[in-house]
Amino acid sequence: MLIKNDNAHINVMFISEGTFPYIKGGVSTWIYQLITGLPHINFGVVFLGGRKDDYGDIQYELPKNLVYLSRHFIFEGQKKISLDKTDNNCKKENYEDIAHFHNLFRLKKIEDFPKNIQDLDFYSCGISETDFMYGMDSWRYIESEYNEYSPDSSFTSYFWTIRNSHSAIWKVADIAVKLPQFDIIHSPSTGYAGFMASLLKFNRKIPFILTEHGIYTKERKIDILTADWIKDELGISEHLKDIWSNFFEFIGRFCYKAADTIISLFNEAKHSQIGYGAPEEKTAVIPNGVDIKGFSKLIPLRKPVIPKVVSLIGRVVPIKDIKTFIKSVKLAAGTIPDIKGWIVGPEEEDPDYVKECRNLTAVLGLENNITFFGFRNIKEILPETGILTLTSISEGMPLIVLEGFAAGVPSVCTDVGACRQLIYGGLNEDDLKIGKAGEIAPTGGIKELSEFYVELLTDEEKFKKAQKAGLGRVKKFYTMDSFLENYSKLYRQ
Amino acid sequence: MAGISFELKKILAEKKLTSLFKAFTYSAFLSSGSWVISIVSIILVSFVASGLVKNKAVVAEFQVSITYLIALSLIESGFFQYIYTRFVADTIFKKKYNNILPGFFLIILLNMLIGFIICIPLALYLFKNEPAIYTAIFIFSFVILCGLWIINALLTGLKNFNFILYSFILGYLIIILLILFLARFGLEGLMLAFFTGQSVIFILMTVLIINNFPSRKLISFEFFKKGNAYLSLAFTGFFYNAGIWADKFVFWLSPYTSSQVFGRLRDSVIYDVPIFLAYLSMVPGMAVFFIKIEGEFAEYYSIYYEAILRGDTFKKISSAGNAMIFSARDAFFDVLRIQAIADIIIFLIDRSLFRLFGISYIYLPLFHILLLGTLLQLMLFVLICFLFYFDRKKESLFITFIFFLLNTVFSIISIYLGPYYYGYGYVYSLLISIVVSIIFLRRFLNEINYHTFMRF
Repeated sequence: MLIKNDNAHINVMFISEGTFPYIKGGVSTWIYQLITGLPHINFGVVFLGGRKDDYGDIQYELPKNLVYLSRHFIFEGQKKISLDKTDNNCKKENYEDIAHFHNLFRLKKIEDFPKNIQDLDFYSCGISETDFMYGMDSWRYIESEYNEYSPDSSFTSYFWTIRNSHSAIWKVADIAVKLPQFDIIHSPSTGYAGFMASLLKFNRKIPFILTEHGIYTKERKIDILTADWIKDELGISEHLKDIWSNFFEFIGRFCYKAADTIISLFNEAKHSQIGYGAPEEKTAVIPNGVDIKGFSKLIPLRKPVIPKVVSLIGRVVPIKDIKTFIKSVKLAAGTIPDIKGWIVGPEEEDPDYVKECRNLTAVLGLENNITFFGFRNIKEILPETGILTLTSISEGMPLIVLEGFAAGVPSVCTDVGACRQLIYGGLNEDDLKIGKAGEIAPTGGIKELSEFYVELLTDEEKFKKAQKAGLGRVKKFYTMDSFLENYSKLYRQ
Repeated sequence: MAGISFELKKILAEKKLTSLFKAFTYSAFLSSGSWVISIVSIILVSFVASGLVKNKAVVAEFQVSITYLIALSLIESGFFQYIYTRFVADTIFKKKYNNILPGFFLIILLNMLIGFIICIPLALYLFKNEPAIYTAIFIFSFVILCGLWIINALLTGLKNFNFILYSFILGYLIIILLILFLARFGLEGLMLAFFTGQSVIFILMTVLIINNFPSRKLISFEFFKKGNAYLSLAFTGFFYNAGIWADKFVFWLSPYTSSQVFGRLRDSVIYDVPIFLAYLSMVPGMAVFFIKIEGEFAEYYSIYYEAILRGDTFKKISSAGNAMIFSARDAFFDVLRIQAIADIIIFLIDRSLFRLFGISYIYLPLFHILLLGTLLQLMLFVLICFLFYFDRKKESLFITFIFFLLNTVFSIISIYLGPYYYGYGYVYSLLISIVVSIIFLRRFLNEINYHTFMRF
């Protein structure tokens, strides 16, 4: 559905999968910063969502140079079946083609990808959605695959897993065909968005920039491994998990093949990308930037004593591992009884998990220590905060850590994503010399986390040192200006 | 974190399979129940009237009147019968029991209103020179019957079987008693008796339905929302009922085989007696049909779809599917077997039976052919019933249409070919419709899992 179209020439088209402008969060902010920060460039955004009910209204004031916005829901509704009408202009596919398409997801090497899947026509002509979704050959294939790989699991779940994972591909191809013209395609993730960008790149011969904030393939794998939804009456189906993993890995490799430049936010992410099949010569690192001026205004607002407040700013979802934070606060409360744990972030995404977290708080008797704020303006929270924390099991490059640094708040984070690089320094020798802007604990390390909380909140000298290091690092390496300059340069190329 | 993976769980959890069960509450009774009641009514009421009323001409006029009333009202109601049944099945499946009553009132009023509008010009044409009071009673009886056929669609869903039975007995007792008192007023008196008895049944059934399906709203137009009304079901119902009566109307309207009885109503002395007798012979097959389909087959049917909804292995789903197919085949052959045995017995003792009812032996040859016809009719009932169960809308429409078309065309041809060919039109139209139904059903059942998963 078209939301906005100024009919102006579009320089850069973003494909936003479940982020800007309908969901607030790291990636959304990043897109917003790029669009507002580069006013001389015209941007377009294609929003891909799952289902309409999962999204509310637009969360951002749309910038002037955002000249095109459309939104699409790829798990919504089903096309009308018209098996009787086959397009005569298309050559009829055969069993091998269908089998081949199913097998794609198992291919490990990029060179093995058949040429035809890069072609948009393939999805309407080569193997049409109708053939793949409703054809007898396709049915025979699913049946035989099921019998070979997981004959003891629920066929119903198996069938719908196959169908759901594949059907979105045709939806995405369908949306791609209808998009207007633009110069550059920029996708902030692999996945469906990246797949769409890849198809557009191959068919329109335009440059494709891929920026990955986390490693999509890895995040999906965590989702899949921890998911209790890939489960049926007969127990958890290992094969179903494999299907999803293979599916997202396939898409990841496809995107890496298609992209002209593969950008990550920090060094380790770059190595992961290479591990997942990205050609090294295409990769580059462009870290996020922070509006130093805006945040440094918060520093004078801070009280002279360290507030005994540890804030976790992020969505209340399992991947952020909020429970570990709550338990760490419990442990730290043994030393500092009046320690406060603030949980600041939207709670709509996974209401069950939010409930579990609130229950845990009650069970541990932390009602006086832990506060759930919901979504808040971080500029209100930061001056009241002693230290920021992230206890996630996976992260990209968490902007909040940099924002905290700029506002004079050190961080204690788990060793995921770019956290180590941000807190200990790691871009180069100079960066290391700046020193520690907080501490790094292992994932799920309740004991370490609580010790670091206590240490930083009570040891004033150490706190001051970390504060200084944070400010120094963010000013030197992570300014908004250098971030925007990097992308501006990239677009010009 | 970008991505929409967390939404996938909702999709898996969502029961896209819900549509599978929609067809479930189609009942065997619905596909032939009204028809059975109608035949029983005609025969019973005629029989009673001929016993109680001395003026044979009046009895004949009364008989032809109610036959036309029932036939025409059934054909008219055919448009609404199946779409309403389908609506009820859907609402029961969605557990929105409160929607049943408002939908019921909407459809019954609509059907009766349309019946009323159609019947006025029809009655004025048919009874141009007859008393106005007769025409009025005819129109009102027609409207009441239009309501009753819709009510029938809900009856199988009710558990108060005794109440239903006693209501019908009461209704018919009233008809008989009133015939005794009103016979001296001639045809109008008999018609009034019929109308009163049917009205009593109508009122009792409506009360029963209101009590059984509580709702806050009296009427609701939700029925017309997209997806609730199926045009194909409307025409299936129409062609089905029209097909069943097609051969009779051909014989009633053809100058070679019919005579004028009352107003413009005609009957066919040659055809009517043997066809209604042949219909009576269907009782044993009908009984087996209900037991086998409502009892056994319906159970295997729900086991199969429950296995899918519950998420069983393919092996279990397949074997449940096979069990269901076996049960369908079993039901089909059991009905065939029992009815064939009954028909053979009737065949052997036909002369004694005819002597008992005081019917001329002249009717015997045509009766034998029509006996075969009603056997085939039963087979077609069973097959169409399966097609309804499996929600084969297109196929059901096609079959009911060719049955209607062929029964009309073949019956006309048989009249031109001469008395030796009477009844063959009915038999051959059924035979062809049955073969086509079997082909459709086989094609579907051979790939039942494919259809269930890939095509819903």
